[in-house]
Amino acid sequence: MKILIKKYSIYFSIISVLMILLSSCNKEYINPSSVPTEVISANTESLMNLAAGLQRRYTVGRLSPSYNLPVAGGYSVFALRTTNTGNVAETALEAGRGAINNGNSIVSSLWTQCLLGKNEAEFILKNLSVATDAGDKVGLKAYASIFYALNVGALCQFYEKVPLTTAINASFDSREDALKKVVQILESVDLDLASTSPSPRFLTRVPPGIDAKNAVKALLARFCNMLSMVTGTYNATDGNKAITFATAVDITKKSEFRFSPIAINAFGDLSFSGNVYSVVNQTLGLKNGLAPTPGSDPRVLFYIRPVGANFLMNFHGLNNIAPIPLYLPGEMNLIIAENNARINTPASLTLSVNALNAILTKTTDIYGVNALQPSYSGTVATTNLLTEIYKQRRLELFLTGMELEDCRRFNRLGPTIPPAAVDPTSERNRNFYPYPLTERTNNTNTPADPVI
Amino acid sequence: MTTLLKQGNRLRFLIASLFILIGFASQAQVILKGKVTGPNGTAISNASVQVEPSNAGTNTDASGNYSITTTLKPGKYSLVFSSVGYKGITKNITVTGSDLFDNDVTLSADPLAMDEVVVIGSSLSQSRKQLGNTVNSVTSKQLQNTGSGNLSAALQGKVPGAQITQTSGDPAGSISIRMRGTSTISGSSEPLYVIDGVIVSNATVNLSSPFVDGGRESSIGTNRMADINPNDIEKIDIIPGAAAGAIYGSRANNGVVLITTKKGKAGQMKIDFSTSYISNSLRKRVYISKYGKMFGLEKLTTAGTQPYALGNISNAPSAAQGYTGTITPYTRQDGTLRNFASDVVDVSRNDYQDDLFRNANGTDNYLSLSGGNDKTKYLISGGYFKNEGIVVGTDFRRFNLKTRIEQAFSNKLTLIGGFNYTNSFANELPNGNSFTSPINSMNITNNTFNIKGRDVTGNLRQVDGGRVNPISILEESKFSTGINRVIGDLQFKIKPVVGLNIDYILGIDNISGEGLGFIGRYAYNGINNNNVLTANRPIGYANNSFYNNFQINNDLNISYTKKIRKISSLTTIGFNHQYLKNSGVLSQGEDMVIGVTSTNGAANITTSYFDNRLQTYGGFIQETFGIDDKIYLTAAGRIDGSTVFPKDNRTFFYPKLSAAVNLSDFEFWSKNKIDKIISSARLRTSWGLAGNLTGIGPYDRFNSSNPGIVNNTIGLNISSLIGNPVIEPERSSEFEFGIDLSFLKNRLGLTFTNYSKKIINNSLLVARTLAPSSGGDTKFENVGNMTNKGWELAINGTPVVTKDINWSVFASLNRNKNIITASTQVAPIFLSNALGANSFIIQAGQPAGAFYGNYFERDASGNIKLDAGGRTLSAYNGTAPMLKVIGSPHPDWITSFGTTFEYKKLSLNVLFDGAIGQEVFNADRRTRQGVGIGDLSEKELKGELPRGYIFSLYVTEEWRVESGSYIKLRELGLTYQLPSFAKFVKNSSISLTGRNLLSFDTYDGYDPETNAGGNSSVLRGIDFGNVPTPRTVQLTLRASF
Repeated sequence: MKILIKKYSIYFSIISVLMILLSSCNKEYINPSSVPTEVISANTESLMNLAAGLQRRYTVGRLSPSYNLPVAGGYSVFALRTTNTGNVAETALEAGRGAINNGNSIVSSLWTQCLLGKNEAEFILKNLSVATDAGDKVGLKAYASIFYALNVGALCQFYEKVPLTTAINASFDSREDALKKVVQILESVDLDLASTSPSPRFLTRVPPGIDAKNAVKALLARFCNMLSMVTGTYNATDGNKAITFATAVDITKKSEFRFSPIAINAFGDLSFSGNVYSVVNQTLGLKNGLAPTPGSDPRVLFYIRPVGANFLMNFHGLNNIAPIPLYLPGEMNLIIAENNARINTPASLTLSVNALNAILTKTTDIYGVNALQPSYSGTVATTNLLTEIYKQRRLELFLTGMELEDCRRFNRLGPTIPPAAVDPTSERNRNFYPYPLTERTNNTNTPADPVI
Repeated sequence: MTTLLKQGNRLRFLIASLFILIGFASQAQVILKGKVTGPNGTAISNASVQVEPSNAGTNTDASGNYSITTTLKPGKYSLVFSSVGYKGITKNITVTGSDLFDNDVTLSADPLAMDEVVVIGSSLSQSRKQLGNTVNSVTSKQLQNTGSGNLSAALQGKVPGAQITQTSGDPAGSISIRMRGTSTISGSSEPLYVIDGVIVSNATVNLSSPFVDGGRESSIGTNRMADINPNDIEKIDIIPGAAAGAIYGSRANNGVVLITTKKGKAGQMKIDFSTSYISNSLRKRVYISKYGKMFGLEKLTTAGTQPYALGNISNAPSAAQGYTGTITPYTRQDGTLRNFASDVVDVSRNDYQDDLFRNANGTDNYLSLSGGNDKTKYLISGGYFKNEGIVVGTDFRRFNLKTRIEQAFSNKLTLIGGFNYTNSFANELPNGNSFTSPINSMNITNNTFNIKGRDVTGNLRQVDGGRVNPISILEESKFSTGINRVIGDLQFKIKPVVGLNIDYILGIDNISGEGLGFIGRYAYNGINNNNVLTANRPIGYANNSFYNNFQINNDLNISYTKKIRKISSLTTIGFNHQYLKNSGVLSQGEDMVIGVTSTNGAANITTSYFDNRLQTYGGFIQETFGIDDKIYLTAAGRIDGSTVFPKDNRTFFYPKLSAAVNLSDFEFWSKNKIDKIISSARLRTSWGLAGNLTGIGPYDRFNSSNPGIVNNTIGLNISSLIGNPVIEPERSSEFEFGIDLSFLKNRLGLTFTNYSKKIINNSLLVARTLAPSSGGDTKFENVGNMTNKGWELAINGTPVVTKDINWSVFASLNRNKNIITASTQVAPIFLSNALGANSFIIQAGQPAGAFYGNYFERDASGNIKLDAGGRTLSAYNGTAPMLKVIGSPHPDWITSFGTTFEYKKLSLNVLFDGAIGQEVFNADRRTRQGVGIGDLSEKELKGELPRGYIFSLYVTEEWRVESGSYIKLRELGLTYQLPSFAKFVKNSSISLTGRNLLSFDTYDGYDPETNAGGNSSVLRGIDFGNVPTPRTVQLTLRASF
């Protein structure tokens, strides 16, 4: 035995060294450049960083909704033209109808980023109790609610159904339910903001530029307005709420997303380069008698400028640091005008004309979007007013991403269904987008794609 | 005085007698000498002569002579002779006392290299006939006169079963090696490189132009094997896969390249010197139209004033833009309506290839000093290599300094230490998806501009708006990567008793790199009229990036050999540990102060820091039994772990079994006279498991949030990559069997191996796609299995061997089929890529990285259907384009064939190699047509194709997929051994070598051997803005002193 041990002692010692070394490799390396998600949920400061991150995801870069919304919206109503057909996704959006398939990268980016943004907003809302200071808490809640609304609202504009729950094989909810949820979340924080303001500490942690109180009201007006027509039949309750909130917005206050050269406005960057798309021409894509007479409406050359063969964007598409308004003040009066037109009582029609004239004759817009037009002189009837309001929305809110929703809500002429030929008078090239392949192939609850 | 001397002598005599007496008592001094010659009577230098069992041994000198003086106990010994390329011989001797053994031996050719000792692990080697698995070897001679200063390129055509692809023709362009197909999806598919026992980095790093985005799966930049000087290499042993993996189990699933560098040899000091002149030129031009017309109107031809017209092939200027000519309307199947301008205007077209490419020169110089005695051996070498690229302004230079010292303290302890320093520096320009890529700039810019023209102040002029003048790229941008690298090792070889070897290796590889980039502000206006940034960076750009890669490995291997009668046993146990830290800072800035070329002069700076750390560790035990030198059986097991994976799933057990039967050594073989036809025959089989312990990044398993800036405020975003706490390492199993035969008295050798390599247990690691409604979009998961099945055939023979002529031929053929056999994710995973197209997928039932997209509608005989106007029709289901797999980047066949013909002092070397059956996704060709500078656009201009033809094709991905099959004349060399012209010159030669002189392919681009995905595992065969591999001619003078 002793001899055996002696003979094999070298093996024994080596094996013991091996065992020691093997067991010592329980090392966990931690990435110094990221934060474990569980740390964020327990920390007010981190939640504030996440609130800033909400704006980052929503606004910065080519994947962001801030790029995809105006581009998708613009193409959907023939306002844009692809300058370089190598940009496959944009070229397909231009063709519209069947060319927009569920592999389209803009269709997927819009879907993905809005859902990821929604998830981040919910993460903050879920962990609000971590914040002990009332001002911190209301700040977190306001930002989370604003971006929840923007993300879910964007989805409602381009897709027939929206998954409100975050889960594997998440179920899909109707646009009506989604918009109701958006309104509910915004109304809750609207109440809080009436009594409490976001703390100064919170405001130093998020990018400056957003006036939370007014932004919440403006978004409530926007989404109540959408909700009022979501079933196709006008719902006056939501419509009246839209009027109330729109009236409550202080249109002398700006809420905007700002950029820096290292966190860019991709819509501005690519609009400036002209390498991907150009505005189609001075009609801004308006058809069927809605196009402004050339030179008559200063808003056309407020938004675009001719550069060679192209019309490049000004304002929020001027360059890569151009700020993008969260809402334009003009939208509020247009919401008031629209709902009063739909309520369709003699009194409301007058209110509608008044609100419309406020847009047509505006000279003091805080962003300079001034129509300088004569007052409304058409027939004072719902149909005529709605046609004018639609036209004014297109001119006043050019490439703000709401084009497809507006075109649908105002019941403008929709696209023909392939294989029928393209109707040159149709005013949009899609009703809804198909669900992206990434969702369809990984979620068994994905509904059928819209026919068109 | 004399007495003193006498006393001294007496003392010496006494001591000597004492030693002799002791010697008589136990050991006797023995001298063994003789000469080793080859079959044609020529001396074999450097043949190994070993006395077994003992530690005594030596190598033959230049004239084949050897002499060993040692002390041996009386008994029976074997004198074992071996040399690469010859069959070994064993002479039995019986030592009775002090004796002199004179043995001259003649070695016969060994086309199968059965007796060749091959390295199978850090410090472990075995003769090939004992192994059940394939080990391919490449010698230093095969690495000479290749026409390339890059080690990986020098291997092209020389390793059966390996696909070696130069993915960029830049002088520091990357080279990718695939052994038996793509063996993993996530992480690198490149083999593990081990130099003298040191695991070295072959990381692909892009430090100079980090803004070039090839997608997450891409791997762009120089792979750092470029730092290794091929002149320093003695031999390379290549293990294709898992079946051989016991020693490198954890990392062997992509194969292992074991490099042995040159060492000093006992005997006279030797100086080796070589110097070369290298000439590089563009092998093939692509077609650029010089037809002097363009669609549209006059003003669209003026630079800067009408941006983005791009030849108006697919664009439609309107009346509002001043066009009043003929309009041809066309509605494509997807509903896109275009009103094409059909009128043409006169333009003058240029071929920018004239300006981008040049004939480039290089030089490769090497000096080594080596020598030693029985105890001490040394080698010191230095190299200087510089090669210019064929794209103006690019080059690569490399200094190498190397020392290697071996000191035997006794028969029992040897210490070896080596130190290899490399300084390399490359001036480079981006390849791929970048406005600053010279090849890309040529393809995306209309050729109607005089790009060399200057304005009154001497500034270059603008081209198409949004584009960068190609000359601006050559003159006003500068990118470089500088590397300082040290590879060092310290090894102890202990032989405490005969048969027991204890080896310990400490290896370190440290790379530090500096990447610099600079783009000056473009003087021309139009893209510079606002203080903003766009992708073409008109307002200047600077990059200062630093990187450090530190790897250290500790290997302990203990082996014990014992022979009891006819049974021999080799037991090995070992332990390996490796730590890797790879960290750096990327610092990029834009909006430059004129005159400053660093980020100090940038208005907007972004920096990012990365730090990857990991450890891998493992232990193994391996036992080989040899039965009468005829049958060898091996069993091994190892346990491996990696900190990349969660604690509970870290370690796995990887077993291995193999057997080799040397049929021709059995008596029946010669008895039945089979040996008259088949001189030798061997059957072998092997099975093993291996892991991929670095298949995911060190932090990919965690849920985390990433910081980022928005409007000058720091924010956090929850990563869309969902963590996976139960992820496991990928495990692959490999089974191979083969036969080695030699015929005609060993004049013809044949090696055949059939293999099946599989990723098993649903362990294939993939960054799978998630439904965004689940809270993320990507997650690393073990989702499926993948196989590579195929076979390798290698034939080599020597048709003529006489005293003056030595003619040898060889050929190899490899068939491989890669397929993802199962996946829990049914839908295709789209791989992000330089093109930004959904054209590269991972899907069960398809090869990894298959090309995917819309295809043409075809009639019964396979012709593309045309519409009434003569334009192509794509498959369209009424509402959407139809998609399918339209190509694969994996070759079906890899082949090589070559010959060496030596006549007296002259030798001719010819090597062809090729890959057949793969497709290339040719993005550049489409772009040239779309910009209006290609052959089809010329036809559309001339009216030979209908207006709108290119627009009709444009979205159909199948149009971009082409056959990428090629066979290249890889090497053609002539070497002349110079007659002795000076006494101190031992031998000298002069060689003229051509490389990549010809390519036989039908490819409509520069070169089907290319890849914009760099060394990516799955993005393969993508041609997008890549520099073509040059044709090279090299004149080399070598001399030994």
